Amino acid sequence: MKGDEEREYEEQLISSAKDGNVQAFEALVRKYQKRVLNLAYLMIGDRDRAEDVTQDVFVKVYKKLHYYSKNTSFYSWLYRLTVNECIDELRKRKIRKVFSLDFLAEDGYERFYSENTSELPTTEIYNREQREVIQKALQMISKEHREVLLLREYENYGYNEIAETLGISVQAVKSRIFRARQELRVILHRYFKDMI
Amino acid sequence: MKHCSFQRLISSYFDGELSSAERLSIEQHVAHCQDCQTFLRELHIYRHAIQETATLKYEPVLTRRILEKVYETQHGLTAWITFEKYVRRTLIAFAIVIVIFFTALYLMLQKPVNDYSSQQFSVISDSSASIFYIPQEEITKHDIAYAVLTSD
Ligand SMILES: [Zn+2]
Repeated sequence: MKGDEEREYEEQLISSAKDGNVQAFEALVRKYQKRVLNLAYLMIGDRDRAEDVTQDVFVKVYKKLHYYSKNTSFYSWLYRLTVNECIDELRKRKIRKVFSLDFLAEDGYERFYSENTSELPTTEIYNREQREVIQKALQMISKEHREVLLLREYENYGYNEIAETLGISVQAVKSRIFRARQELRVILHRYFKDMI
Repeated sequence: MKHCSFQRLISSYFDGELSSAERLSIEQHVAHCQDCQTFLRELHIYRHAIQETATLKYEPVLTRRILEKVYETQHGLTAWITFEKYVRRTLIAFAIVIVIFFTALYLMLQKPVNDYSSQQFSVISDSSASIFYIPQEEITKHDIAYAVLTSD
């Protein structure tokens, strides 16, 4: 019931925003900003660029809001806009070129984190390091695998919702997620080997 | 890295996307398959690690930045809409003027309307006020001559 009320409220916000109500649009930004920012951050792997993308996404939302139809969920629509914007951003800056498998070599992490981390508590260093590793690993897998994996692991979407969002079959979702996990596993296995 | 043939199903099992029968058979398999146990553990670790990575907080500064940009865009859009409206109104006014002009021109160039054409009957009279009503389409010179001759 609460979900229905929330959806109704969101629809009201969207239709007011479509009519040019700035407060309604602001409420939508407040509601989804963090989610879009984190998604962009996972997609791009750079905080500043993720912020730029978040800004561009919401400007696009504002311009294209009248194209949005109630048939799909607002977040699915927003998600597609965000992912497309991230892909454009990655293409523009050719970020993938920056990464190579070298950083995952045995002494790669030590070289990478020897600077600026000496004063931080060990767990904080570990968390920061782990986040960086995940970020880079996500940049190394294909964008199709990345987007399906983020829908599953970050957005916590079920296979049906993922299929709907990406416009592919549930069977395709199933095998794409499996292949994405295998690809990620090849990259991360060594880093996490002590935990496995 | 070893790949047990069950791993594809393990992935769906981990996501809770299997039927209860499939789930049961997977659980029976995993109980004695080291590879699948490892794979399942890895899936947990990677999911947790991805979720831990997405920890950027809500920032009002970014909201302000977004809204400023939106206002900027909105002004641009408003300016365009106003301009478009102005152009549209001018075009409509121009079209109306053209239509009025040509209608007036047409009316002015028209010859005066023939009075008889609108009448159903022609009236022919003489000095003694005897009146003949004859349907107009039937009137010929001959009829007129006849009428004049027989009016006395
Ligand atoms: Zn197995």
